[in-house]
Amino acid sequence: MTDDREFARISLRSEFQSLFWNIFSVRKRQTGFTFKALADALGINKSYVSRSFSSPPNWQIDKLSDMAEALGVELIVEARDKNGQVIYSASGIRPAAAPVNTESSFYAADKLERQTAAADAMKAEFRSVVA
Amino acid sequence: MELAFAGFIEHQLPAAIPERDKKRWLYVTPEIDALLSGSGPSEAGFPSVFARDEINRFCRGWVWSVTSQRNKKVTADLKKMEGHDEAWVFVFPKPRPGWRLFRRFYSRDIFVGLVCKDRHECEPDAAYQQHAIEMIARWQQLIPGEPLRGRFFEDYLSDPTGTIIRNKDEHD
Repeated sequence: MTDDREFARISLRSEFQSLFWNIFSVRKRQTGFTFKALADALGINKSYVSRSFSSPPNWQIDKLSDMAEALGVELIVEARDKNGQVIYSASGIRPAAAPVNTESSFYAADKLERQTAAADAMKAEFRSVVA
Repeated sequence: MELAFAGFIEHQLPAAIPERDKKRWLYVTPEIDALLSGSGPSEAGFPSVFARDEINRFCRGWVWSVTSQRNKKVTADLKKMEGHDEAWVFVFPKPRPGWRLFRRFYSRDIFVGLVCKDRHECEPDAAYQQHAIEMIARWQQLIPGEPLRGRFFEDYLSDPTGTIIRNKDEHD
């Protein structure tokens, strides 16, 4: 297997792990949801859940579906063309909403700094909503 | 930007991350850039898809675990070292035997790696501490400004929804 293919696989595992951690974190804050509760909902033991959030697992599609159900979310399946212009979904093709960003990383970093205040405000608002 | 003038390089993955997807930035010395890219000694084990995944997760702003605990049993992507002025360690469990990138925050979400050692070079603890001292000395030599200083992990890594940073100092 080429390194690029192996990396793509590992990266996708990491992305799902990150996605589910985000949702789990919100549920934990909203309702006190725990690894144990998630494990019970999935019908597996807690140590598997804990391990899954430590090292990105190679979840089967069925497990992804189960995880989404247990966390109370619907997965949306889309694919973005690598040129960034087109989004594919099961029901068709549409242009990507955001234009390709050609800013330099330096400029983007500076912009990020300026956005910090806005991000903090959004964070406060988000926390008040989920509290 | 001062980092570029100081000779630092924004480390790029083989398939560069589109700017629109970047949330954090990793700058390193040319020597470390060469090491991570696989231009260093072959026995170092780079390039590594696992290290690439770590850097990808960092730069894309995905969930990132952080700790300030000295306890080696507490695993995290990033550790803040005690007893030093802003010394952080980016942990690469792979390639074997594992690598540690000693670094500081230039500003929020911009991390500068100055010393990279394999795990064996970080033992005993005195050697680990010495690498942090060396990293800080290099910073002072190469970068005119002070590092970012904060109280909370969120001061260093943007987390607008409060879900991105996985604080390993707290119980899951």
